[in-house]
Amino acid sequence: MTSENTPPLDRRRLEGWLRQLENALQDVSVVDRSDIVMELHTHIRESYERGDRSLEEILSGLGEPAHVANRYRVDRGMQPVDIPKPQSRLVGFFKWVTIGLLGWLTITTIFVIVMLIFAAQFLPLVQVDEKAGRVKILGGMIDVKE
Amino acid sequence: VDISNWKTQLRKGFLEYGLLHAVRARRRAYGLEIIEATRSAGLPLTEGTLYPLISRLNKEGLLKAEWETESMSGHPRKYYLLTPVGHRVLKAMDAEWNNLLKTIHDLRGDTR
Repeated sequence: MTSENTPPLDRRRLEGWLRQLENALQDVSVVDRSDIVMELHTHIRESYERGDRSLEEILSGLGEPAHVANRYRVDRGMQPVDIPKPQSRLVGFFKWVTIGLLGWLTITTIFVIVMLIFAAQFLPLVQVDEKAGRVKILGGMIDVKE
Repeated sequence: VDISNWKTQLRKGFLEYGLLHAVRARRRAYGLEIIEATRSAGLPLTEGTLYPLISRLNKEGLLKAEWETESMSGHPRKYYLLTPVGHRVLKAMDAEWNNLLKTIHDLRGDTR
């Protein structure tokens, strides 16, 4: 029974949570999976209708869907699934940014070197100043200190 | 002195034992009912622990489940009850529990 002052249930949040649980239980048999999801669905709704806890409090009492799924798995003698830590998303982002930057830098460097060699072969525009220890390329537009 | 680790170890087997009693005392019970019963009896049991545990006891054949739709709210509830195997196991657990109690009484030097 919904009490008078219970705000309407955030169905999207509830359904999202249950969907995540269902996805996390893919390796459990269909019958077991739908049993678990239906049982927890009723649990959440009935707990909510008691009116003493918010939906978020009830969901955090259960835990993250992936963790709940793992507890079912362990209790069935199955291997728990590795759960990526929440901050690993950010770490992953920086990892790929770094890899991308390094890759870009390598490609650019190789490109520049190849272009310089190419230019040096066909254009006599590279001047080597032995005394000053300088290499002047394209009439001094690029000045490299040796 | 922190005995939380010892308490965790102790609780592991005790939870199962308490849960089976909570079910048997009611003849049949559903998840939320068991959580509330254990909580008011002073055994804090979160939903995240109870549901996988009860599901395992069901799988192991100590409990059987029956779905029933509650007429007031219309939610399908999963009721658990002890199977004959469950009753036998609980009897054996009771005997073991009494042995442990007797042992600790003796070791403490309690006069009986």
